[in-house]
Formats: sequence, C-alpha cells, structure tokens
Amino acid sequence: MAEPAKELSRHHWSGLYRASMFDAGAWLARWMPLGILRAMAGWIGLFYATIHPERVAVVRRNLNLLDASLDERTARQVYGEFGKTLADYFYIGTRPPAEALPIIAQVEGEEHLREIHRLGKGALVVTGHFGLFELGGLLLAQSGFRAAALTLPEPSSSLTEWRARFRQRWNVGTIEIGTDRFSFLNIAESLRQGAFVATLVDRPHPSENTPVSWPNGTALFSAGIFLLAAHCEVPVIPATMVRRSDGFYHAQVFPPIFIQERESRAETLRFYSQQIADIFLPVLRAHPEQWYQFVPLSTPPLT
Amino acid sequence: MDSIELDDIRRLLLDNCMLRVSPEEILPTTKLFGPDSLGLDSIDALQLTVGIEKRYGVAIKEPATAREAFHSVDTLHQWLNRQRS
Repeated sequence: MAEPAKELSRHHWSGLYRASMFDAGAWLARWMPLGILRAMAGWIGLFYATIHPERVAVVRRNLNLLDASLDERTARQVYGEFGKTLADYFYIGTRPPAEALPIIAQVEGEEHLREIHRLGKGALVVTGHFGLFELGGLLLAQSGFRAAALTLPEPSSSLTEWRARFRQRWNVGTIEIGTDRFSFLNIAESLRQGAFVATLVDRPHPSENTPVSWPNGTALFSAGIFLLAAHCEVPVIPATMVRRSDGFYHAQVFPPIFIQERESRAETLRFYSQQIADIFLPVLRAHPEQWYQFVPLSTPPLT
Repeated sequence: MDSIELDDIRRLLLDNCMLRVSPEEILPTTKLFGPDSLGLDSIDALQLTVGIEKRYGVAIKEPATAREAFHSVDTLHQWLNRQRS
C-alpha cells in the first residue's frame, strides 16, 4: 500500500533530509542561543508550510483523524513546531547530557521503568512521531538504564550513521531494522540483556501493518514488534515526550503492558495496537501541533 | 533422539506462519523468503523462531544462523536435525 505516500515522502525530504543538512543544523546549534535557534527554525517551518499548501492539506487530513475540527491553521503550526523540535534536537545533541537534560522539566511515571528494571527485565518503550521522541533516549540513559533506539534505514547510510553517532553521545545505541528480516534477533538479545528498546509505532511499516481506529478514521501501526516483546517476556511501555508552552518538555511514562497471545496473531496485534493508540490519543489531542505525520495515514476503515 | 521428518517441518511452518498452501505444496526445495517462495515475512520469521524453540528446544540467537537455516524447507530440515544430533 501507500505508494503515493512513499512518493510524497521522498519529495518532501529529498532536499533537506540528508547528513549535510544535519551537520549544518548541529553547527548552528553549537553557537546560537536556543531561543533564537527555535524562533528561526519555527519561522522556516511556517514559511515552508505557506509555500506548500498541498502538503499542509495532507497534514490536516491526518490531524482530522484525531479531531475533525482541526483546521489548516493547526496543520501549518505542525510545520512550525517541527522546526522548533529540530532546533531542540540539534541543541541538546551538541551539549553534554548534564546540560541537555534540564530541557525535560517534568517526568511522570518514571517509577514504571524503575520497577521493570528492578525485576531485571528490559522493555519495549513505544512512542509516536510527536514531540521530541529522541529525548526519551537521553532520559533513559541518564536515568541509568541501558537504552537503544530502533530505526528504519534513513534515505542514505551516511544519515543513518550520523543519527546513530548523535544518539551514541548520550550513550543510546541504535538497532537498524528493515534491511535484515532477522534483525529481530538482535533486538531480542538487547531485551534479554535488560535494555530499554525504544521504537515508534504510529506509522505504517514497509511490510507489516495493523489497523487502529482513531476517532475519525483508521490508520496503520507497525506493531509486529509487540510479538517480540511477548516472546522475550518483557512488557511494552508506552511513553510520550511533548513540549509545553514554556518550551520545556513533559515526559509521560505509562504503566507497562504485558502482551498475552489472543485467538490469532492478527487479533493480538490489533488488540494491543488499539490499546496503545487509546493511551496516546489524549496526549495527541492536547498537542496536535506536535504530531509530525507528513505522509497520508488514513486507510479504509476496519470491517 | 528421533530425527525430524519433512512432515514435521511442514507442520511447523503451517502452525507458525500465515500460509495459504496445503502441506503437499511445501516441497524440500521450496524457499521460505523472497520470490517464488512461501512468502514469509519478518513476523513469520519471528513466529517460526519461537515455534522451533517451543517445539524442539532449539534457540536461534544470531541473524547469520537464521539466514542459513531459513533458506529453504530442506535447509531448515537439515539444520534442525543437526542441532538435535
């Protein structure tokens, strides 16, 4: 499915989504005050939205899955907020962890992580493309947990390596998936060794998908990884990281979910995907402008 | 220890993977992944790995091992028998 989505995605990022642009962003972030960097990136995002109304329309349709009343203005804001998020990403990545960490002003539910860690288990930490999800890795590592992020291959290997190096500065590993169908064995090994492995679930996967119902439509989650959590006997822990109006971040860690097999594989994935979507929904509705979904998500409704 | 028969491998595949073929269509030369194969995906691979561990007590921990064992029905058959011998 979603060939048009892939096509749009490719156009969308072809000029910007490459290692040299990330180098430029990191270079700016080294000497520019965060407030100025954020304002500049926010304005660039809004300008981009202004000259690309067709892309804003896609974002609006995605937002309408959550709330039919969200309009074009909110969709344009998504681009402005995404610019600010990139500014924060480069800023914190070019600072020592102790200097970067205070950008997270509020952490709720950290006890869930500590409890699982105390049991000697790892966990699959699932989040979505909202807020600055990469900050979750910093929080995990700085809290003393082994942390790794799952990633699909970036458009170029140089960008994949760039982002892996960036995470490594915070002592967060990277496990690339997608090119090797047996990469789940590497993930299983990390989980068995007690690592918290972070992954994004709110976009379609190139090969396996599970439909979830949002209030105004259906979209796809890449949830196959839940089966791995069940196999490794580790929980799935939903988590979010959104920027508050004062510019600081609010991390929320939700209670762990232990995946139990249901009547079929598809039903197991559907049931737990919906559970995760229902947990995310209030956060997304409170901060729709931070849901960074730039390709069409909607899919035919569940039958 | 009893050796594993081809029918056991067929049953293993049918029990753990989303297949739309009859047991007779699963031949020793049938590949598991890619074109002209059973068309397994990464989730099938995971389920198959779990199924092998549950049924035969053989754990696969390295991607390289999985690539070798899961090439075709025959390679899986032979690999499993080697692990149990």
